[in-house]
Amino acid sequence: MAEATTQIRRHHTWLLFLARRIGRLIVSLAVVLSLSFLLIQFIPGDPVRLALGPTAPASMVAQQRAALGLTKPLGIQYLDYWHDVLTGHLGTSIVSGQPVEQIIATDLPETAELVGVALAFTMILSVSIGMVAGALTARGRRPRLTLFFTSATSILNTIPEYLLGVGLVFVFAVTLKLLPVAGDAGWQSLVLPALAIAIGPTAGLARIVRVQTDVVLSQEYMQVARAKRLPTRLIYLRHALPNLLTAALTIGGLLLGTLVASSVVVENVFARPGLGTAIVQAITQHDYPVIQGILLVLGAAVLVLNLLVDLLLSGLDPRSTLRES
Amino acid sequence: MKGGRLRRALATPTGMAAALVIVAMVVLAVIGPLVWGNQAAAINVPDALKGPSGAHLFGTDQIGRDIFARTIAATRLSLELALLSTLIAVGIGIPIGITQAVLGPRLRRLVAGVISAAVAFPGLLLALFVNTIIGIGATGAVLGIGIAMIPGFARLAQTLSASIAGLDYVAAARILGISRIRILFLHVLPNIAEPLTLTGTMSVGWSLLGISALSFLGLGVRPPSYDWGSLLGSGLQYVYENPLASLGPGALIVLAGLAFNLAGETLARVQGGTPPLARTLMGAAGLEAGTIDVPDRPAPDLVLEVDDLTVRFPAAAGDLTPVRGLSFTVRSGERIGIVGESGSGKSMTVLALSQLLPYPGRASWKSLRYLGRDLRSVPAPELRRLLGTSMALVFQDPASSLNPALRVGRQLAEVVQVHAGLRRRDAMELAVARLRDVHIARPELRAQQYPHEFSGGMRQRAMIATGLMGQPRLIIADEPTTALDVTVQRQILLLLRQVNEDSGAAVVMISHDVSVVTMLCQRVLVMYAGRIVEDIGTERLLAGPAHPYTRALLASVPDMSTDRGGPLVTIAGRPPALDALPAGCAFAPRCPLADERCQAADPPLERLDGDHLVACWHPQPAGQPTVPASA
Repeated sequence: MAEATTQIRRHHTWLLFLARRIGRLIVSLAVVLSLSFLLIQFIPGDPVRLALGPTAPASMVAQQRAALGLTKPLGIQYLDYWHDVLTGHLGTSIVSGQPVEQIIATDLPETAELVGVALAFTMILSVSIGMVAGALTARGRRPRLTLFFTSATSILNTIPEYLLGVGLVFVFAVTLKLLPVAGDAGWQSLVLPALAIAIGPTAGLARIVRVQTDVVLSQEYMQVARAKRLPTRLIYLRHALPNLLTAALTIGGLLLGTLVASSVVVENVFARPGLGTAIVQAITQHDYPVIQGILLVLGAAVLVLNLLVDLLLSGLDPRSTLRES
Repeated sequence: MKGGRLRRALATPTGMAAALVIVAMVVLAVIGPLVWGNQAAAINVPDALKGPSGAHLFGTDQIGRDIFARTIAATRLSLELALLSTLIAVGIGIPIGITQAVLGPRLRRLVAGVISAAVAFPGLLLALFVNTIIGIGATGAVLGIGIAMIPGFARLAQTLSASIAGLDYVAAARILGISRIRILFLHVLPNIAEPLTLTGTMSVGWSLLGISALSFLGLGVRPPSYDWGSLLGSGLQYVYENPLASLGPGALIVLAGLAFNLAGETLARVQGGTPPLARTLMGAAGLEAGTIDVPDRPAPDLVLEVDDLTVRFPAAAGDLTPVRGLSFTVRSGERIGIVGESGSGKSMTVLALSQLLPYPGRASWKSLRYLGRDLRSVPAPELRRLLGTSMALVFQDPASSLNPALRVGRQLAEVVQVHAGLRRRDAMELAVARLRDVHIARPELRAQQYPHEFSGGMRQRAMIATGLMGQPRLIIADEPTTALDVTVQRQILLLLRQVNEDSGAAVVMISHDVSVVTMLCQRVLVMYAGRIVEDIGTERLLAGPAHPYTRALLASVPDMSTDRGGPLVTIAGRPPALDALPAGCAFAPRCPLADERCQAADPPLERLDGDHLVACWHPQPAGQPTVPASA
């Protein structure tokens, strides 16, 4: 009887947590959608004239303006935008005449692949490097290693992804000629861009994992695990790792947004097709519907990914839902 | 204060390096365009796209301009733009953040919600959004990066001012009727100015990197102007022919970004102190063998024989020795208590015995035998199994001694899975049986739960059950009841006693509370400043111990007859610091019976009668009234 109520209460807490998170997501998505709509309204002067250039005939500008719906009252335009987005229409490129959702459908998988590989790099490398460093330097042991680790990671964490990209190109493509310098040809062309994105977050996260390892290792339950005389492997992997993962995933989740943003820049460094190269090209060409569409998709992706991380965390650490409420 | 910190920051190598780089950058920014400006603009088409040479350090670009001169001359614009966008972020973000401290609750929640949503959003997307609206160029880049950094500053200022606004003196000022605005300028701003300055310094670095990224992408500074980012972008086009054309400007971006970041970090670090000694005293296992080896001899009824155990912590100012030359034995099935004040070395003793001494602690001994075996002669894998199955440890805080990420049953089961090779299912069955043995209701269900679903008393029961998974011969309980309330305390003591009687395992219980120890134990070791001062049977202890310290401990326990009107009895003075032990008896400075002999020489632990040992020059006979402890 008592367990049944506990079960129900736990279930209830979880549902409440889920509902609140989804509610927050919907509000945020609405804000991103509205901002994306407002982008074209905020442009000083005539966006269509900017896009088509000063030489375009006035009739063409007027026609394009009507096609974009800019002649309608603002409120109607806003409602239309909601309707279009919800039915999967993101507008038409001024430059190519292609539907924006089609452009995104070709480029999104490329970007998702890059971000996914970079995320995998980041999580695996940072947790393993940080944990080893944490175990080696726990409670003030090996102060010189600690100093080296802290300075190396903080330097790597500061260097922006595009410079890492240039550096990696120089070392691996230009000097060693091991990997292709640019383009999109199989996994080889994915390695350098993914590393360029992942190195900074890996360094930052490894630093946090090291400190966290130190904290976890000094917990009493680790003392108990040692008192059980478990093999070292089990002490670290079974007893320390799950307690580290919560912290690592929390920060890793926050980093997802950074990874997405970095991919925009790094795609341009390596001339990889993807949403990043598409949006930069669109900005230089004043192709506003494409900019709107890509910003909307990237923004929504970040928000949804953040929610997924939260849900994953609450599954991993049964206490986190309780803390929320 | 501020000046002092700056001086201290400059004294560190990183601080000095960062300062030098920043000064050099500023000098370059001032003189760069004047000295190298003409060379940077000089077009020389026949010399186009040349590699590095004496005349052109970084080579030349498509129309033969010297890339080195351009890189140096670009310092001014790059730094100017970074400073400008930082000013935008600071100028808008901080006011938004600190007004939080004086807003009404509803408005505060709204603004806080907007800020935290904006912080979670990648800055680059925001920057691209602004850049699209303003248009490609330096203005768009500065505004884009500046606006993208606003939420971060707003969040920081909000957190900082909220922590100040919660302080007592701000509350007091509010009660005194001082207006919110005045509170803001009088109390909040001055106190958060320093951390905000640090972040401001660091964010010059961030915005430099951000604006360079936009310029690099062709969305920032455009020809005929140029900054490091745009030079990097155009250099990358011929990276095969002339890598220095992109690496040169890139290196300066990294250098400047790092310098501002390190400057901020160093300034922040010099305000934090060094970790206290307490932290270094907390650590992982470290062990050092003693010097004299004694051959094995069987002594089956002795679970533990300790001869001259010393624990030492190396420290810069001289070693600390929390345990000094301890000798005692534990017989099979015996229940022994170790009592003493905090810092008397009780916990260090058991950690040394269980080979779990924290780093950098070192234990040495003349002889240490467990179950008749010299611990030093047992090979490591066997030692692990021996201790893992026969020695159980129960720690003070059951809330932290179970791993929060693992199910309780699994934490019990793993002991026999590892040491007895049981299969997972069998191990779980055993775990459930042991949970039942320690009187946990519905053990099948409980085994599947996480520690946070257990009450404090249940967690401690589960810890004891963990110790019962093997064949326990010795259960060491370090303050097992201190974190529990009185009723639960009694239940745990009864459980320990039952386990002791059922399994025949000896129990060593540590406590600072004499009354708890006398409830459970047959014999009591009294520790003071790292030594045993009395080794005494419980009956004799209750009848009146011989050592004045034990008497004082006993007298300070309130019981039913204690006059509740009067103050509680305490022992005057405090235990000596580990690094300042007196020459004679360590208790002498607090002892009412102390004389010159006590000051001069430390009394050895000697047999008084039977099993009763005491280390005192003036042992008191039983039955005599306890030494008057001061109130």
